[in-house]
Amino acid sequence: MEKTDQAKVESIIFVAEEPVNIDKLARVMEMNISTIRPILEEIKEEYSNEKHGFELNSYNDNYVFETKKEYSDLILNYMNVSKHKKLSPAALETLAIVAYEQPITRREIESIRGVNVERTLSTLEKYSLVEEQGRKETIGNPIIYGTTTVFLQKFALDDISDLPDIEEIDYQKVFEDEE
Amino acid sequence: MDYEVKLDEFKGPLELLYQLVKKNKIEISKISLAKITGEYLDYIDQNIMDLEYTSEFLVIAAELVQIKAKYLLPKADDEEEDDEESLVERLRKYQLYKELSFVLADRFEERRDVFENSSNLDKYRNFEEEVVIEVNLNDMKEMYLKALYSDNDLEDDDIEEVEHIIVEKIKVEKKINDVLDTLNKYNRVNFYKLIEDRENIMEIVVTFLSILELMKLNKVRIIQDQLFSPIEVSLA
Repeated sequence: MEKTDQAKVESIIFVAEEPVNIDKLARVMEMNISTIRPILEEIKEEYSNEKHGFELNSYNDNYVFETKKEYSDLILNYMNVSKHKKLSPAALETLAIVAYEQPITRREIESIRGVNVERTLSTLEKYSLVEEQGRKETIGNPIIYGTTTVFLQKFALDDISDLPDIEEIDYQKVFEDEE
Repeated sequence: MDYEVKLDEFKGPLELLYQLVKKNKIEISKISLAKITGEYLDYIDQNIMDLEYTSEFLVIAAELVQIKAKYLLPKADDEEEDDEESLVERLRKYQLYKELSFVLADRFEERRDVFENSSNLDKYRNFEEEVVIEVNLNDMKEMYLKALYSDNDLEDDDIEEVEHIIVEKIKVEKKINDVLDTLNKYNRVNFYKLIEDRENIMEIVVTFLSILELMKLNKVRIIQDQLFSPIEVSLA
């Protein structure tokens, strides 16, 4: 590994318009993925230090610099924004079903939620949280849906297996929360 | 406790059932569902909704009433209980995802205010060669006039004659007659033989529609021996 390799990788991730996939990094750097991974780990390690205001995060092997969450108030203040977009309960429920049951068809989501989810799905698609991932090989070839890299990023999941375990859900907590 | 359950578009029958279970602080089971049947029906009664939307609520209402009825009636030993299980199972599954959605919401909340650095590289990229249009004001005026008046008003040889693309119209009725004529002659014909001009998509579509129509009228039969083998048409 050359001394400047880390700096080179950093510079690419820094200018990238969206999270950079490890394959693409390897190609640009003319390296193997196995060589580039330790470099990325090194950068992650370095920026996790508290003297930095941002850190290197990865979602499904897509790398991106993101600000640390402890400075969000400061940034919001700078941006002059106070309120944020919130996902509706309907959107969150639908998203949870897609995340855990994917690949899944609209009909299957509807049978769990008991309501039409056409509008909710298109909202989730608009925010790139959910995408069409082909068609099911069954009568009518319905579209199947799954979650995206943006979903992983917005929910801070390294990859989809990082979702909270269903068994871990504290049933009682939910009941208390809502009252 | 004042507890309002809204039956708006986003809250379906399972949501209502879930809220009732929660309000009554009961476990999801057949016995408890039978107990809240009355409350469920009351809510539907008080909320007049459009039919399409109400129907979903009514299906569940029917299932609830069935569960309750079974509890009130003396039970035969070998009676099946599949229906009841299914509603209980559905509600449990719904509850699970409801809870997961809260977990996701927490994560979303936590991550919402994290920002990625995002350069817009467009301003650094070389733009496509700029197109330079050389026209002066006078040219512009001429072009404007040409556009305004048709060529006979303007004595200018430069104006090229405009050619119109003629869309050939093929009518389904005519095609139906053609198809029937052909079939009367040959009895059984390959689908493609019925198309005169195979480059003409319009004709292919119209031919296809004609055959569908003829099938509906029970005038022809379609034969295809196996997947992707030629489609043959014959008189019914």
